[in-house]
Amino acid sequence: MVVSGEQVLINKVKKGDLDAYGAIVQDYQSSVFNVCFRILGNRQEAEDLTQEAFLRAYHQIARFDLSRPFGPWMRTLAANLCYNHLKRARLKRVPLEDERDSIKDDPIYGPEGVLEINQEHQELYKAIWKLPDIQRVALELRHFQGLSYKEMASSMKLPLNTVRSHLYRGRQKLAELLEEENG
Amino acid sequence: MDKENNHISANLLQAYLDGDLDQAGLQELELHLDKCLSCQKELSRIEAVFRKLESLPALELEHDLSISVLAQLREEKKLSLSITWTLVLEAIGAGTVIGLLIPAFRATSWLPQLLNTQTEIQAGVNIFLAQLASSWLVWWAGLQINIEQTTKSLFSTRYFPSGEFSPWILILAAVGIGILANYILLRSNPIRGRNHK
Repeated sequence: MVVSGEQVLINKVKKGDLDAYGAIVQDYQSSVFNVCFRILGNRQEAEDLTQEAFLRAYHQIARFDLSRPFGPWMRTLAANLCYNHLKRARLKRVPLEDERDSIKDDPIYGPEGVLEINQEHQELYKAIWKLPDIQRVALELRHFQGLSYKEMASSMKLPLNTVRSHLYRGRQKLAELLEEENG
Repeated sequence: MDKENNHISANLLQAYLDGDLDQAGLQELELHLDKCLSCQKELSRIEAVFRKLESLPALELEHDLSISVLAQLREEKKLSLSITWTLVLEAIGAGTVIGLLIPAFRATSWLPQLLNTQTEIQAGVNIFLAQLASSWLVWWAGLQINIEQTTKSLFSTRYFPSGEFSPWILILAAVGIGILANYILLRSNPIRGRNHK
């Protein structure tokens, strides 16, 4: 059996080697941040949840199956974390929507105004953030993480047909929003 | 085939794009698509969403988050080490006190010998932990009941409302767990019928 460099690193992490985990965080932080940013629509929140996801992953690393790639596991964990974060925020009535609205109105969003996104992608982001949370998470897991319906259902802890329905509605709504944007 | 007004439904088109149709469904859908411009248009509309999502570029992260992640993990490790040492020292302290007290109890004839054997000490600790767990459950359940509901339920005949979640169920479960745990522990560590000197 061929052991990849990543597997060697993860084995070290399982034995408590924090420096090895640092290397893993560096490799995956950007992709995990993108997951969080697409779901949350807020850069600062996305960075916080990215860190939180890596802390959780470290504590759950003993359960990670070494025969599988680390990236999809890590990104799915982050997507779930963001989904639960949004659910908790809704329960506490934190005005996430208002916060995202202000970001959506800002054409070049970022702490120093450096996050430059072209017009077409800005419109797509705005449309994605207008979707209900659950539809946005379903789209993330299917289109960006490539999960099957069954894997999505297991990840979101929802019945398969419910997940499929959220995904279909999300795509329909996204198509409508993009058409609205384009007049 | 699931059709709306003689056309393929949007859901079925999405299932097609996801590769979620069986062979028969696939053939039927493709036959219809060949001759229906309206469905072709709808398919293109959904395909455009797929393409747009695929085209979304990854954004660059501006800070290296690994530094703060590792700092937090190191802090946690330190904390966990200090908690472990605190527990070890507490255990040593408690052990010393018990070790000194037991001979003292034995030396006095008027005090009952509460902790006579290793089995009894173990049973005592187990019972304490079980009671702690069940009392925590009761405390948690108590939080679920506001004062008004509690008062109402105490003065009404409907102590155990059905159809919706009742905190009383949790309290009963906690009491049940406590009784069951005590029964099991006492059975495996018998201190019943002990004849105190």
